[in-house]
Amino acid sequence: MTLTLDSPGPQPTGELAPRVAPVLFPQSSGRDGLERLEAVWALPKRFAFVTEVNNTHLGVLYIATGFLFFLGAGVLSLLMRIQLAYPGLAFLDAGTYNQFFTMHGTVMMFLFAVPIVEAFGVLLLPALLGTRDMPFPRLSALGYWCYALGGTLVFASLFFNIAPDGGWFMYPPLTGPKYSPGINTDVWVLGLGFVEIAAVAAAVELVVGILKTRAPGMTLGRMPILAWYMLVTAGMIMIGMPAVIAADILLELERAFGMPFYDATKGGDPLLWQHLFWLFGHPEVYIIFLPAAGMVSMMLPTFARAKLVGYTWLALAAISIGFLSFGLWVHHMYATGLPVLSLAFFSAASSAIAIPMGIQVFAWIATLWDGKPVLRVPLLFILGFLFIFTVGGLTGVMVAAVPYDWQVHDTYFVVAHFHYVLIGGMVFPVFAALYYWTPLVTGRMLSERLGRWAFWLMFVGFNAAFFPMHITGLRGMPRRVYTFPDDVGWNWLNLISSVFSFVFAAGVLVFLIDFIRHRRSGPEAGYNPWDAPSLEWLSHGADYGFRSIMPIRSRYPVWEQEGLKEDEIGGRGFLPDAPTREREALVTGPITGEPEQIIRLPGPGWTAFLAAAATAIALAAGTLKITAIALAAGAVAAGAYLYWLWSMDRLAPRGLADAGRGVALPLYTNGSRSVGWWGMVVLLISDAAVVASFAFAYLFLWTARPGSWPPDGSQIPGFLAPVLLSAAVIAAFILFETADRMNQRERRRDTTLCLGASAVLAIGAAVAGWFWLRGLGIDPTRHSYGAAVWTLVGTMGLHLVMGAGMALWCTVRLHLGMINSWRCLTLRICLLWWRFTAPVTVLVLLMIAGFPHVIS
Amino acid sequence: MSSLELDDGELDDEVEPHSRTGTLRRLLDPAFGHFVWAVHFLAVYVGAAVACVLGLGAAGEGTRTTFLAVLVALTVVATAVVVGHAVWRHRQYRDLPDQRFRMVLTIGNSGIATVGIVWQLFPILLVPVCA
Repeated sequence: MTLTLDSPGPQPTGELAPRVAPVLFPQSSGRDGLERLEAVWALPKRFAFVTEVNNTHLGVLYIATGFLFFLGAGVLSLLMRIQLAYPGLAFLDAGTYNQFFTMHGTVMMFLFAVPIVEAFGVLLLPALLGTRDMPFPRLSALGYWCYALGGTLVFASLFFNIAPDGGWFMYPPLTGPKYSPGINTDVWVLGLGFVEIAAVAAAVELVVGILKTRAPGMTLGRMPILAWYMLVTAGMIMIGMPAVIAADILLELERAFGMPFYDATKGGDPLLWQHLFWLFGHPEVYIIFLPAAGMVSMMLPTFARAKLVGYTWLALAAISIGFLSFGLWVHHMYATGLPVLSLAFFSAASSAIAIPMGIQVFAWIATLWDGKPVLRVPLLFILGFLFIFTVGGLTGVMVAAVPYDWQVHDTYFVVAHFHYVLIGGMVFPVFAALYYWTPLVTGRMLSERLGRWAFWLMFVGFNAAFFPMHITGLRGMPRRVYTFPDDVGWNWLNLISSVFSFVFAAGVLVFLIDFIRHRRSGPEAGYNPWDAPSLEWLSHGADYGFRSIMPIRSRYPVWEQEGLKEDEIGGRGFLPDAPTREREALVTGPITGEPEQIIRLPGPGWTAFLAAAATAIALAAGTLKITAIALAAGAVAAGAYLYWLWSMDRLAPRGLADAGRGVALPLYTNGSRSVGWWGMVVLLISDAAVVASFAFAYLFLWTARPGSWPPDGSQIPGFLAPVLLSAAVIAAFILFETADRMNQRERRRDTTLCLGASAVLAIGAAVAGWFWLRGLGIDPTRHSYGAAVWTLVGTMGLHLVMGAGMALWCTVRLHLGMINSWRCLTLRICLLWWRFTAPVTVLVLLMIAGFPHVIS
Repeated sequence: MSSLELDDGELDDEVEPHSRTGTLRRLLDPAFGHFVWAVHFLAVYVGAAVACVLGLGAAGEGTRTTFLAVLVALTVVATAVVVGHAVWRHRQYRDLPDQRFRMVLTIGNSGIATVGIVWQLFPILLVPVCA
């Protein structure tokens, strides 16, 4: 329901907050409104740019950083190609080569591919969705700075000879404490930690941003197709990333505390790592590919001069890939000796995904067929993508067949295959996107002539460098060898690959030169230089995005909504002003795109940067075992996060604010309509996936060694203690629920009592759980069973302690007048935590206590 | 038509017939078929793996046939649920032009999910139990 200025409509119940009277901010679509808009969205000057949190600004930094990592990892690959150009060269020694190929893969996958596609989302989505910004800019800033600072530290490890050297997927036991005693592996875990923070932050921002901050009238069916792709990608990050987070935690627990998850001599299993890694690692391929496919789907209509054929089918193909890609992970493990049933099962799943992939390719071809294509540089890269990616797909079908995979496993055939898939499926679309969207950011066009040079050098260089690797692989050359004998028929093939890898690099260099040149001498782009149909071109490079937020009623608004530009510039859309004198965005319904609320967004501030920098330093110092610095930086980070949390759920005026166009909207919501509520839901889904991964580890370790369970000589858990623990946890949860009800009735004393009792019960349950495991004689270092049980129960114990902390946090805010019956979002978001923690803890206890009884 | 002409009808045009359901469930509803696919995938794979660990491979022919019959039954039920859901949504949406996108999205996802569900049964039936 849309509220109008004449009828304010229903309000949240409760008393007015002190010092706040009902207000109705007037707006102006004239010069004064524009000045206010410019003032609140202005970028900070000079070094203070690190305090800026605007997603559009961060998106540019994000892409630039990702591109630098691409160049760095590319240089490593060229150095490796020099070493492999001729047999027996001593340009790089074996140890250095190990570090180089590990860092090449790790940096390309984790510091370039994943971040840069997220970066395009962060940069483009606010404009594509027709909004000023997405809801959690500080979270984006935290993610970006963690990634940039942490990534730089990890890359720098190369210069100190402590770079990871166990391959980009870091299989134990090679990476376990026995065979990799140095800190190289810890550096890899550290680097991935930063990427995980950045990815989950981006996922929360993208999911909630796409669902809650679209232009009014932009229904799900009118979203730009990239938004569908990014929504699916963010959903996949939410579910997939936790598996590798869990795998990392287990690896570090084994390395640092001797908990033997992957140590076969103590009941562990190295295959557990492979399952968890590829449970993330295969969807990862699609996490990289889907945004690239989304960008291709955005650019194609522009150059085909026709609407996208099969918009709905592309959206459902993206959704289907998002799901089906989670059923393919075992096809990376065909050579590990798994049962035939597993191999056949995942081979079938691998071929099922061909259906949605096929839908996409046919939709793209049909779009080109339907229109009158204009062959500009971005389209050239898109055609290159279609060709190279299809070849990669064909060899993919070959390696999806188990017997063929056994033949070429760990050879250069596989190296050729995944470079065709990743460079074709992601790097070429990214270059198309760079050529296409650069004018949006810099206001100038890149050179068409140099662009064609860059394309052909890259296209020819790529194919001539990587196609011979198929043959090298079929002739038996294994991957990850630093040199080879000269009498096995690999010499010429390797020399060709090496020479043309430099041709590919020359193409990248031409792009770089063009990019540097265009900032001064590139032709002015003007408004909508490609005559594109989507909203980002309506924004004119201003920090605030749009002069006013336009109602949308088409998938191709710039092509189909007459007078859109004039109305937008004339301030005749929503929010032509900054009515609260702060940065704002419209919150809209996730399905209908109906305006629901005006949110005030944070402006520049040091919190996110400081939190990220301190986190990066603390984790890096911890890895390097410099305890004093780690503790000091950790304390600064904790302080920054607490300050950040404290500053949220701000005092908001009780009345409705003028959103423009005769519509009045609230400035605050305290329930499931608020963006904070949605953010917490997304985070909890990720959290659930981490707990599920630990539960999988427990069950997998049993299937690997079925027999007496517990296998370590400890007692079989009884039921009395888990029942009592569960009762305490459920009681703590009910008390938290009751606290919310008491708060609604403004019964402050009862609210405090409930919160306090909830905290005491939660802490009590966590401590009792610890004694319970100790009493059963379960030792986390003796056997993988103990390690798995302690990890699962410990994780839920941490959840209880966090829940208790939230209860105390709410109590303090309640007594400072920062929570009341109306301003209660903090309380309700903490309540969501309990709605997750209580049932999951009970389930975990049931599993730990019940499973040994069931199988015995 | 000017870009400014937008009435309440246009803003509200994706309010479904079952709009009393929560927003999160309504958002996920078009992907219903894939959730069933995921549950079926896990049930069939984990079921087979656990049964083999517990000694199905060494069990008699009758036990193995019964186990396969259970998996087939599970697949039939899963397929029926997905198809039934798609038919239900089709009946709800077919007369509502505004809901066409949602209808095609739901039915298309259900179609792909159904193929996925049936397809996953083949390896189970073709490969000898617990090989």
